[in-house]
Amino acid sequence: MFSQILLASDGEPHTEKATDVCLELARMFDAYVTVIHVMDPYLKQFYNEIYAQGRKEYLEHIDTCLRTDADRLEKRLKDIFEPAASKFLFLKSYGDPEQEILKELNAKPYDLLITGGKLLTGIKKITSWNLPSRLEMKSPGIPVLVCRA
Amino acid sequence: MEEKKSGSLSSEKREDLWAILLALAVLIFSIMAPDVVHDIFKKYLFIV
Amino acid sequence: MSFFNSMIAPDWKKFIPGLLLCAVFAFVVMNIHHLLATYHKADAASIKIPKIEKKIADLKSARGAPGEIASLEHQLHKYQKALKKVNGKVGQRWKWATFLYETCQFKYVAMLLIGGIIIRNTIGIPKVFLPGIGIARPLIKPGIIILGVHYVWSDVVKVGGTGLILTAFFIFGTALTVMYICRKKGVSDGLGGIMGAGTGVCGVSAIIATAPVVRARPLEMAYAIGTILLFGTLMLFVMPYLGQWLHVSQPQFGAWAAIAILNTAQLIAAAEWYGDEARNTAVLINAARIMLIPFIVMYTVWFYGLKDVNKESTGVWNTIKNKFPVFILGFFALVLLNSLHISALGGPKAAGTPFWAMNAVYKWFFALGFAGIGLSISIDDMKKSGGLAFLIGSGAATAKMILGLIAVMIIGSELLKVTGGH
Repeated sequence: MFSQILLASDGEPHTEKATDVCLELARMFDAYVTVIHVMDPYLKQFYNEIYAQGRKEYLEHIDTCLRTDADRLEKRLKDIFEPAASKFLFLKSYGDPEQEILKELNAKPYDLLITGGKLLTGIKKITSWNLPSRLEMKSPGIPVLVCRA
Repeated sequence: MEEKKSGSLSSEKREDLWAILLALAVLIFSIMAPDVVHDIFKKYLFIV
Repeated sequence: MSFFNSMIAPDWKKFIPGLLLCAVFAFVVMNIHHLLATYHKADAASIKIPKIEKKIADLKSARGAPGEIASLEHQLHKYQKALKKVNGKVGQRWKWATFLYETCQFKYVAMLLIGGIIIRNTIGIPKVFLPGIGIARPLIKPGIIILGVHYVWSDVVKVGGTGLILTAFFIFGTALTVMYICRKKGVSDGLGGIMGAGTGVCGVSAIIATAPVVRARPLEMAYAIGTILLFGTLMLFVMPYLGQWLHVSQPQFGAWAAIAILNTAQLIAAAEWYGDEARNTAVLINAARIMLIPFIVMYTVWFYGLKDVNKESTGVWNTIKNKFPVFILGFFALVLLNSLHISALGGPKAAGTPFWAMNAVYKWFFALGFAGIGLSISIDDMKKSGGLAFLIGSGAATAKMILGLIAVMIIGSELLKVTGGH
């Protein structure tokens, strides 16, 4: 059923559940797991905020954070998935998460996209950025499993 | 990534210097021809 | 030669489309503003002319003071000119213009900001324009420098001094309270640090200055920036109306806004919207408060007992040098020139003088900057606000707004009023 699974992970606590579900499914179907981690340079756009001082340090700080977070996540997920999945690949990409995940989804024949998300209640349902539902809306016919926690 | 970094090297200082230069240019023009500067910005730029 | 090279951003071409867009947007809006102002003045003149004519006639028949009659005749002449501009007759009304310009306060600041937000968040902005829009925002800096012609040193000492004490109290009060509560509640040093600095002074600018120092995580920064942007935008639109409703005087509003609105651009926008006197006070207090940025960074470093990430930038003097907004020196240079009362330079109200000419220019720099600000306010960015940052931000913003209002009410208008040497 699922032989190629794409797990989108930003490494935040709310993607833990998605990681567990992905691991379970990978074992069950002996699937190939690809993890995509998008380093989002979104914060860089604020660097030239009026009066902002120390912009170079700011931009460097963001790059360093993104890189160390990605490396840490890669190591952690490798330890989890390599013993369990028949094949495991960790992809680091750089850009807008929505676009990068969709690009990857369109590039290879995946059967399932798994992503985490925050539990949304009340006003947050409307006001939240809500990347998982955006991905679900724009997915090219590939099922999307959103594990909210 | 790298390209963006070099483009923003001490951009705050550059921006501040430009602000001072622009203000200085306005001051110089205003000293040379106050009426012209005033009329451009208070009259000619308003077309309605 | 290398100096000239470093004055030009290596990728300057990418800024052109956005700058042009802002210029066109500012041009259109300034013309609409001008049109509304012209018809609003004509509308007011149309009602006032008969009243003044009657007063003059009464005074003349009662042999009133010639000085009073002359001043009334001068007023009458001004009103007649305003009416003539639109080829109107006495009794003719342009109620729509008064309604939009005075009742709704629909001036160029509001049009650029609201219009910009609407354009950005409905039809959207193609990516080629984004870098230029970002670079248009700092164009309010030359505008601020030029506004230096409105002040003399006694203003800087009186209003700037009062403002400096007031803002220093609120900045460090907020920063200390937020950082202390964050530490008590077990919030990470990164988030506590940027929220303390961000809610204390200049919002996003302070977050950018302190984030590398306290090593804030990207997600925390996104939350913090989203929150600051959200409250800044909210305050920008709420405060001018709230101020009018509460009958806050112009100088008091300028000071109140300088306490409650973190983002400099949003502060100047709100104050310019409220009126010239409010703007004069706000710009001066703002000049005082942005000089505090290096100190809030040092304070943050001290509070968290951190060493700066870059070795070269450690030390008190280096922090001040690296994080000091240089352009504000241009502002003070103009204040100094104005204080010397050099007759050849004149003043903003003395027709035909250099300073009078300069005063005509600043609004155009502001318009370009506000166009950039309006077009870069993205509701999607604010949607990224959340988590603890939102809680901290909303608490600090509300507290500052209420306490700031109480403080300016106690201080009164006099200490906050910019005289310009008159």
